[in-house]
Amino acid sequence: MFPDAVIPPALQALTPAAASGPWVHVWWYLGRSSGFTAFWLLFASVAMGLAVSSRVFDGMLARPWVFDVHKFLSIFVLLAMVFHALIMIPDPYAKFTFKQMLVPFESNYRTNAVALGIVTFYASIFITVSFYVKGMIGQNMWRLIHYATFAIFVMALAHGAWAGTDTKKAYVQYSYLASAAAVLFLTFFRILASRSVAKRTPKLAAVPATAKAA
Amino acid sequence: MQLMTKFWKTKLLTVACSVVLTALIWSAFAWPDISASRAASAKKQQDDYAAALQFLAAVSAPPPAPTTAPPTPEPPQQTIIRQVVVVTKYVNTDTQALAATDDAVVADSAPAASAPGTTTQQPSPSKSSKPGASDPAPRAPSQPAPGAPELPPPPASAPPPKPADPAPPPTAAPPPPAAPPPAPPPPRPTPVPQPTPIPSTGS
Repeated sequence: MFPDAVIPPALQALTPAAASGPWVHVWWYLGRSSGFTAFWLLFASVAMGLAVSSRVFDGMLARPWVFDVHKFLSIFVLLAMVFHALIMIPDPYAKFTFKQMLVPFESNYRTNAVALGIVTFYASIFITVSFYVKGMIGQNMWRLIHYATFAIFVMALAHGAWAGTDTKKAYVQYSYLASAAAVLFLTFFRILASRSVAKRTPKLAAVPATAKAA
Repeated sequence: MQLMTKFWKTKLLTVACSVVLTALIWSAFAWPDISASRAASAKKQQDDYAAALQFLAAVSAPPPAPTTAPPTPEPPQQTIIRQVVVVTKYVNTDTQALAATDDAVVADSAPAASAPGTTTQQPSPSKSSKPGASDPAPRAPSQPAPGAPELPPPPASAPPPKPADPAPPPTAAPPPPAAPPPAPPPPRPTPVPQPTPIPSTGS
């Protein structure tokens, strides 16, 4: 179904059959850098979504603007993931194929870690599409699907830490740690904010009732 | 309208930041390779430059003067070897008659035979000379030189002159002339082929 060793025509022109000098690792470096960018874009998208729901940026940023950026980032991160996967195929050392990039557990290079990344990509597509079918699936289903975003972020973090070759570097570990801490903080903030809203809502709802009764 | 513009600016800024971030991270990864390649290329350029300078110095230097010309083989000199052989013949009294006979035989075959007891000078067969040289033609030993006075024959009893130099043994005497070849035998009559009789056929 997926032919091996097939390179898209757009990339064939860029593929040096025998790259030499400093450009021999250009594809591998591009794959790694685009992986970092995709991870940080995913982190930004998750953070924007948590900011919208927790209203943490209220007073600083307009909520419609934050929501629009969140939607845009959810699409743009898909493009970054596609670029991250395709740019690895021309690499003369890893020798990834389309099949290995699309089917989990087909890759010879760190099979489980790469499979985790592939699953993350498919889940991101599923959640992004749910934006546009919210009216069809309903609010509750859409919210339930959106909870999977936390799992996607964790899987992306595990994919980067497990499959990446820069995990041992300090700045990479710090970036992973900071992004995870930020998402964790926003998640707790979201939970606490929802509880606060839930506590305030009955009081606000009870006041008019009392006033009515009074 | 103003809000949409702000959104698009944000999206464009997000894309630009992502691309720049990717490029920066890529350059951070590739910088060691690029610097190493630059260092290698710079070193190679320096090596090439040094090699070119060395080559130019080697080319522009004056060529070393030839110290010694290669020895040329001298042409072999043509040497002329002249050898004079003195043949002295001593004839004893006992062999006088035989010598006379021999002389007679020699006189028959070679009238220019030398007289006994005379010293003759004749060119050696090993004498070599240039062709066309001005040497006179060799004369016969018994013939006097043209224009020379005729000397009387020496007395027969006179002792032979003692040679000053030890002459080689008289083995160089000319051999007696060979006997005339025998007359060829008369030609044998060639048999005349006889006609063969034609056998009758009986017809």
